[in-house]
Amino acid sequence: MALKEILRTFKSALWLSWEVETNWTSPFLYFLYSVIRPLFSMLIVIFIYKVLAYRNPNEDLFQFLYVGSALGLFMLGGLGGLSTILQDDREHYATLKYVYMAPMPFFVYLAGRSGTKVITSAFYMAVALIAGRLFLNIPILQGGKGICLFLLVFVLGLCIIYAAGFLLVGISMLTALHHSFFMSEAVNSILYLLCGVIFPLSMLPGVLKKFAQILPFTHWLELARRALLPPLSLDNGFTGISTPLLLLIFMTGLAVLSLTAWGTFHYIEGRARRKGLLDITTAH
Amino acid sequence: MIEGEGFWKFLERQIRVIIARAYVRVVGMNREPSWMLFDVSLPVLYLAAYLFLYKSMNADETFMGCLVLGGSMVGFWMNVLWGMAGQFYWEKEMGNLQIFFLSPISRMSILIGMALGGMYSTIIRTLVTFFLASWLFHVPFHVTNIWTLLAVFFLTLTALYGLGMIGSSVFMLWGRKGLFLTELLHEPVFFLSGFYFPVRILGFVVAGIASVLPITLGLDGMRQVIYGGVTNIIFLPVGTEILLLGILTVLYGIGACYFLNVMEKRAKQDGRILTRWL
Amino acid sequence: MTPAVLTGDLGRTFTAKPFGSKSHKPVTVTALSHVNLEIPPGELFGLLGPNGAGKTTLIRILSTLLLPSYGKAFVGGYDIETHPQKIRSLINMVSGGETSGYGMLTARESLWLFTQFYGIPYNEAFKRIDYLLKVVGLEDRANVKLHDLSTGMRQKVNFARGFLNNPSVLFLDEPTLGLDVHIARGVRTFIKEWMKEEEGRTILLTTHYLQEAEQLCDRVAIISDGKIIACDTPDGLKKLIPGRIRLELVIQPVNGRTPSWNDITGLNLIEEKEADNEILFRFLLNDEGIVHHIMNRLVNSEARILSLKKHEPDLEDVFVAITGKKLCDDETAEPPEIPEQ
Repeated sequence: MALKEILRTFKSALWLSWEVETNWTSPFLYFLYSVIRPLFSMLIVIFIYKVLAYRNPNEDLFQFLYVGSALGLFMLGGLGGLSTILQDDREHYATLKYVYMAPMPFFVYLAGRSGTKVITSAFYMAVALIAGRLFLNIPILQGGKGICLFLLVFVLGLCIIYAAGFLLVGISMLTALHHSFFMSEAVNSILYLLCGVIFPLSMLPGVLKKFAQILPFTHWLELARRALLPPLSLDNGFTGISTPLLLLIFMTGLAVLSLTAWGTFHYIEGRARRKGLLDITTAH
Repeated sequence: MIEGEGFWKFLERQIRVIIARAYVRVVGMNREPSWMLFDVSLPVLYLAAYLFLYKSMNADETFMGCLVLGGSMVGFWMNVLWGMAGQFYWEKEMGNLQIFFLSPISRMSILIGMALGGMYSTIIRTLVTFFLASWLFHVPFHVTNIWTLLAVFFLTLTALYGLGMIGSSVFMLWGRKGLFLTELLHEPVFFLSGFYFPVRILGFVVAGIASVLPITLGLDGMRQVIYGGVTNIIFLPVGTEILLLGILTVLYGIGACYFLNVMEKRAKQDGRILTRWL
Repeated sequence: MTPAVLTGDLGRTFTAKPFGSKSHKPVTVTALSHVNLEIPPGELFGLLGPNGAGKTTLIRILSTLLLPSYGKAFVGGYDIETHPQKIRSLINMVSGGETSGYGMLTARESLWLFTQFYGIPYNEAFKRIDYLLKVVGLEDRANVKLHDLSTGMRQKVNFARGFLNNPSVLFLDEPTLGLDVHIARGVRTFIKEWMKEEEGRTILLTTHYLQEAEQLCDRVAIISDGKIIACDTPDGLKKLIPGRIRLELVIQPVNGRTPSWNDITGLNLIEEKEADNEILFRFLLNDEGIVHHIMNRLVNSEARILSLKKHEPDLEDVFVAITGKKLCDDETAEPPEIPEQ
């Protein structure tokens, strides 16, 4: 597979995803739309804190909650956007079959086709983090500390979104449209609950906490928090584990997830071809 | 009404349409039990995350209750958004909208049928979510007056679905833009209606403006009745809320009829009734 | 007698803002222009034209889905603008290729849903549904969910839907589009039988299948670029063209010399196509004697004759003769199979 071909495929798929997501309105309105959504998401968590904090103010918990919610916009939003892309092309636009039979790398096409959703999710996160820094004085990347780690973690975040996303895309080849939608929602809500997005893992009951601690998404959130914020006095289940060690654990998990996603995707792709599922329509 | 047709004949025809359209939703739910499983389990998972957050801040039972009720009622707003306001978009995509529009029926009957069918499934989902979350997180509730609760609940639903009907007429014209705007209505409404916290915290002015959304008043009223005796979360007295919800029901009902006619005419003038986007 | 369909100076334009263009000037497209039609009750009226000619726009207006930009239209004597509800109780419409309905309902349930839009009581509704499902050959699939039916079967369910309320005026918009041979034949046979069943039933059928229009319709209107350019019985239309015989000639010119046909009286050249040093000519001839002149020219030019075919003219020739355009650029404009006479 020539690099030129990969880039061409990615570029055209990314362009397509940009048009699908944005050409319903003017660029200005789309920008406004992309700012309103994350800001209101963050307002919800701010007011939840405000309601409860009058009795027990806990600045560390607020920072944990705010930054976690912002990171969640990226991680869960990106994953959710990616996992439904195959169904969009297969069921709504009925173009998947033509894409699949075209002489271009299918994997790269899907990566590009979901590009705008992932980019938008990253933008949501950026808006939320900047707002937190500017208006709420949350010490996000205070003094520029942690910026290198955050950039690294951000890139790794893209990797984990794509790895898990491809796993879901693969599975969605075998399922009907509405099941894929629910699967995507289910994965999102499970990660929202278990990865410590809005509350510390210490709140989870024993077995759930143990399970949450082995999820690479949990490691990613913890790493991103460590990069963005000064040390917090909260037990998020990783006390005593240094950042380099946590990074190593995360990378191992990411490698396992990527290999699993790659293998599963190709296995399911073969099955989908055998069963004739690449051009079926289940949404009537 | 068709000229020369008596009122009772007209009414009979509309009831048939309402039953038929509601039947689609009820049957749809019964034939796909997996929908029910997801519909119940997913909100509980999200709600659980917020409940753990509340617990991590040592929230008292009243606030936990407020959250359980708000989180359970989210289903109605989602149903109104996607199952009412956005539904004509999907009907258009499926080719059904043109059949509705060339049939001698009131568009309102179709929407009422959709609303009743949607309410049926969402009420089940809401009840299951509410009881399950209350049980899992040991959140006690005590209904002070069941009739007041039912009045607030059903007035909230009628006003809310009336608003959804207005939405459906607007989105009929907007097509794809409407779909994105539907998405845009998630977070701001979750925030303004106080799904995750008592709306009183927003202040009287913002909460007052947010009261154009019936769910704002409904949640506040139901919280007062379900978690009886609590005063520190009240935005308005429940009697006032019942009155306001009644006014909203009438206003949105009339508004839905008006907008439906206006938008249908505009859609026919612009030729957008059958424009498919996907 | 009140016409089933009457239009007076009916027109429709659409405006659209060009996407991605720097100019914000909206583009206006004329879909229908000054259409005057009168269809008496009991007629199977055909509207023949290529894609984009305005057929569907006319049907959308008559079925109350779209308002005209100007002019008037009446269905069953009622104005489409002022009495849409009255019209809706008289009409129904089937769009070919449509597979509307709800996937989780069975075919029988789906049709029942639509009967309720017309206030048909349950017993009567199910009687009609069962009859129509039999007509379209789906009686054994009546209780199968729509999303488990093939596209063709769903199209058949949609076709049956159009007849549920026994409409006085039925709009069939390309009803056999995408159907395979025997299903399309069955559909055409049913249409003819349905018309005979009850006096006064009217069908407005749009198609770009020539033989379908020719063999089903009492009268045919030819529509192009939104204008009705001819309207008569199929035989009447054929009489409009300047020639009673169609000749197709393929030659291979020698030394680049092609014969000239300009000055042959009674000869109308309707098409000339050149490819791979072969030239195809299509002529309409007033009488067979002209063939003799054609042969003389060929001999003089020393061209090699590759083939020569004689046909009776059909509606395609009429269309080409009147509009100067072909009805359809490809061969798919033929129906799946010539229906039985």
